Amino acid sequence: MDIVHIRASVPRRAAPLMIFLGVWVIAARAADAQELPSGPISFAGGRVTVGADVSFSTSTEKDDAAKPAESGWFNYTDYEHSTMRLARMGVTADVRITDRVSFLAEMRSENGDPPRPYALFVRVRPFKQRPIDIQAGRIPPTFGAFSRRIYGDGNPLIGYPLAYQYLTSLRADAIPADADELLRMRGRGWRASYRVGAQTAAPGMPLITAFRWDTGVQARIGPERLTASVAVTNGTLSDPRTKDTNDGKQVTGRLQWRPTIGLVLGGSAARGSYLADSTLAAMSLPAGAAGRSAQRAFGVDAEYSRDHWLVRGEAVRNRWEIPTLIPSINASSVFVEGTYKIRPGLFAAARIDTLRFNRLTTPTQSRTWDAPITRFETGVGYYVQRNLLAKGTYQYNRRDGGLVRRRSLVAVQLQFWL
Amino acid sequence: MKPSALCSPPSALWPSALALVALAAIVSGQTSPGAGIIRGRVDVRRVLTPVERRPSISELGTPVPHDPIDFTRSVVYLESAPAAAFADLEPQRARMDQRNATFVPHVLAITVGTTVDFPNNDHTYHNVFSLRGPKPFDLGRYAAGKSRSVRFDRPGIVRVFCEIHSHMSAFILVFSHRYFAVTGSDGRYQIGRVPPGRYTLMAWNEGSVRESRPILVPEDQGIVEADFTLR
Repeated sequence: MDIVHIRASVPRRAAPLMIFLGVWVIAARAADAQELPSGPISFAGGRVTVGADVSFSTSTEKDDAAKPAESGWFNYTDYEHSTMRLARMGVTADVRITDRVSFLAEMRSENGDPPRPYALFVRVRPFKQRPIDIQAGRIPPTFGAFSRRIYGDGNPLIGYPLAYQYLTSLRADAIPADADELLRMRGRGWRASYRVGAQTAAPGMPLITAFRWDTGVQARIGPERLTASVAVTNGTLSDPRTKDTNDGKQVTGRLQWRPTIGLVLGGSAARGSYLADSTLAAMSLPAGAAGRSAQRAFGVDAEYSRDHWLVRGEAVRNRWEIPTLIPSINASSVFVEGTYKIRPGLFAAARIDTLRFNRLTTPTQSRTWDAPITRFETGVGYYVQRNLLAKGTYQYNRRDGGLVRRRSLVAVQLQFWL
Repeated sequence: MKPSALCSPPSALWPSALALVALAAIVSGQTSPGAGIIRGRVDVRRVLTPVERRPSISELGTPVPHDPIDFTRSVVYLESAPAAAFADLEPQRARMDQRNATFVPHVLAITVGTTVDFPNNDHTYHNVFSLRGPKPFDLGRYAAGKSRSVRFDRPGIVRVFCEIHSHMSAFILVFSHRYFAVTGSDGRYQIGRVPPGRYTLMAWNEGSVRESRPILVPEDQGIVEADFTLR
């Protein structure tokens, strides 16, 4: 797993706290020590803007590897944290070097881990009067819509959509030797192991991870009404990478259209090689099979809002090639979420979400290669103040496989941001 | 109002402070036919940094620019006013535009009972709301060319925001009397038809009263000059 940590000289647990306190001190100072600001801190004549996002969530579910019969791992992420029991701190910065060149970054820490660069890129607008932007570095995802809703209030619930979080049993650094081995891992995405490639058990991959951004170059063209974006990156949707581990770059494209105010329609496609060269080198593959390591995905998304309603939906169709298996394996996900503001500061939200897999047939069995899962989450949110949000949700998961097949949980979350 | 209280968060203290206007008026002001004028200039020397949008980390390109906020507008008002001042308030109509992702004007001063229209003049959604103060409201999302309105029936200070654009904010000061003025672009103000008497003149800027001073409006329909320098 290609996770880059910035090692600090401060103790591991103290680093995020120091970042948080640092932001707090800057914030208080910028506000002339009279009150904490409700917006990001800006200085150097507005050329530097620093924001922060802090959230704490806890739930009635606690996954514990020592108690496999009680742990569903429904909300586990590729960073091996549960989204429903998470302390997250992030600091964002926008440094405007010139009117057309900016440097943007976000450092993020989860559950006391050392801070890591979630985003780190330069944005260039080559022509002042033309809507063309180029971004390079660890860039925001081009594919889909949800993974760009990075701020806490961008997610009306606490859990994440399945396509962006749920760990399938597939890995980038290890592959099943045959279909039966893959089927044995159904519902075990939180800890999958295979005979080919890395030998240790490790989390699998989601269709699209919302917790890491890829590294590469991105271009966007077009006015706000109709924009086209394309990106070339080192990793793939499932496994974004800072350094390329194979020769195959991922190419992602997105077209976004706003036919009328309040309606946004998007279509995305991506193709890239997700398996590391080291994984492929560990196998003796027949001619032509080594090239079968692509992840392809297509997605459509829509958002409609009016009055006190906001409705969003996404559908993703994903295909992975595995050199040891002749048929490709597919996964499809659809979610729809809605938010309604009941009165000033109070809203209700709900999301229905499903993730399905195609069927594999072997001489002994015929099953979907991973366990299909359906999730429903609903809850309310209350703005204690403009930038302090409390949420409470109920989530129900149903999965056709794994030791725990049904799980209901209640979660609460507090978010603060600048 | 004590100087220490002037620096407190406006949402906490201002509604009650403005409400005190009504109470103070009953005991302090004397109505007289020889009304005067209070005028002057407010020089804002505070260095105010505009509220920027949150770093656009997740954008695929440069966000649409927005107009700068005019922080130099201040509100000058009488802390206490004659009791008669409260009787002649008629329902008014005011307007706060949403233009180039900015509330225009940034500061609006109105009397109790005024209805404020919030037209959307941008080619994008806005969602005007206020969570605290005398009138919490949420107008929802509405498109260009549309307008929604709110009637303010209680004195106090209203912080106005847009749910979609984090940098958008404005103030509405709701008074229970008519003795107030918003400064012009040159910092000048004028409060007319002020009955003779002793008052406390307040100068407010960006969320808090920055300076106050006692003034005397004479019986001879005179003009009282009062300049402020806000640091």
